[in-house]
Amino acid sequence: MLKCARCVQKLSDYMDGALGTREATRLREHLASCAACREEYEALLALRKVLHAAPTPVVRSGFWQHIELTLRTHSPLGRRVPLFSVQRSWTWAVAGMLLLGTIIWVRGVHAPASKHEKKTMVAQVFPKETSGTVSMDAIVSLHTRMSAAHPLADAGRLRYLDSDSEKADLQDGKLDIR
Amino acid sequence: MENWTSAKKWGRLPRLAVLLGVGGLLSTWASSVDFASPPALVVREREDARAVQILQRALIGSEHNFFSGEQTILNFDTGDGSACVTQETHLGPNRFRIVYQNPPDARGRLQIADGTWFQHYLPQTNTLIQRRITPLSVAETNTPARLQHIRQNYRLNLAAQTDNLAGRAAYVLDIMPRIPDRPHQKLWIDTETGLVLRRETYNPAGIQTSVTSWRDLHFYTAPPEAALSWSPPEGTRTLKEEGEAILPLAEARANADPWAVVPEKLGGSFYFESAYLANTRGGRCLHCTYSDGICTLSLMQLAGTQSFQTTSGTIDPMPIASYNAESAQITTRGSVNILSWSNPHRGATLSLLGELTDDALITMAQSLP
Repeated sequence: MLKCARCVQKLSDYMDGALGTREATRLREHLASCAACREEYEALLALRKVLHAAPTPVVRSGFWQHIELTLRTHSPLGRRVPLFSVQRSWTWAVAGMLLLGTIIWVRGVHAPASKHEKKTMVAQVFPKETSGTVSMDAIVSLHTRMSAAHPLADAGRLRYLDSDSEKADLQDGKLDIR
Repeated sequence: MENWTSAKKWGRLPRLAVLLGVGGLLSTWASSVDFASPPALVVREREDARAVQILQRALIGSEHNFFSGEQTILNFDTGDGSACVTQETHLGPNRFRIVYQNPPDARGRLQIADGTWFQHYLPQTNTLIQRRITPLSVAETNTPARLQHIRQNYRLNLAAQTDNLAGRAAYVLDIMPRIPDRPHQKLWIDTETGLVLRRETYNPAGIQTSVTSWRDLHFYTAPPEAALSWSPPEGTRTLKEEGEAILPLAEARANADPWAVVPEKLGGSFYFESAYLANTRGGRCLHCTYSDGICTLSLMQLAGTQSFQTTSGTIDPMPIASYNAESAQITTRGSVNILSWSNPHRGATLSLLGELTDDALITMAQSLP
């Protein structure tokens, strides 16, 4: 027996007469026994009727000639450009620049950056108009210190990370977050 | 002759194709198996009730044991890994003494908490940082509530009834997250005291990231108070921080600046635990902590558009345009991932910190107003 989902999927083909005899028979049997699918079928029939009843637009004279002329003028098939030509030189130049840009970008993203470069990256990522600078070590220290106090926390590991972060934060004799 | 050779060649082709297919399958399997990583832990759902009892014992034991011993912390999350060895004495909540012996650049560091003050001595710079201890809120120390929260977010399984660890019997408990975006842990819990004797942590990909373990343990019946007394060496520079009070949710919301938000939960499984108002050079900072029972997540909010500086760790700039972030970045410090972004509409800079995957942090950030 045909399932409803499959039946609905096949309805359009059935109405166009595109189904084979055996498939069409199975679909008819299903429609006879399933009210929901029959309803769907009837709705599609009604829609088709409405579309058929709609007036056919009249094409003004010279419409098709105009279309043909436009296609001939703009079609790349009309005038073939050789692979290496002055006309194509711009395309090659742009493609080359894109390739070069991609290589530089990939190298920039994946190459290990030095500490100095990493700091520069921060400046690029965040807007220049900043109201202050915060030490990342300071916020890591605050997070690990609070986390270590929780029951069942991996306190030893967190306190060690806190100790390291606090040492790093203490660069100029002051702590950033107090 | 030519026909015969050609027929032979064609006859060999299917065999060659089968061999190539088998070879391909073998290489695919070999590349998918990580031979260096430890084998997956065996999960046994039926032992859940016993596992819950043991975890409860560990929750109580983590706060009520007086002991000293040597702790080794092995981290595999950094490139070459690191090993830290400490001599520790623990005498109840917020009362401990930790002396660092390894790595060499940390040797001699000292962390002492006497219940009121936390002192961190850095011998390399002869600096002492003193902070007033802000006790945890009631919600954070409520064992039954915490246990229930853990069970909501993790599957607890007894991996082994008992194991012998440095002469002590231990239950081996598997704590598997229900959402695979946070670490999976395996705990060895002392059968006698409930102390976590050993802990193995695995990242969401199943790769071991750390091992912490105790040895030479000595348990006290009465706390040896002398262990917490210490005087800094001559000429020590002291930085004293009074610290602010820990705030519960309602107070945090009442005290929060207009640029800050205090959500009750993050990402569906992390519930608000406490908030802390801190000061930075750039202005005010609201630090809210969230927990899923085991993992802690921090939401830091700073006034204005701040830029971050770091002396260590990796910064991975990444544009996130799908919410109110003008720009964002991911930074990694040890096992902690940090997602930072500026929100020009609220005039704040926000950071989410936790041992969660980048994607999980981004999803949480996107859920923030």
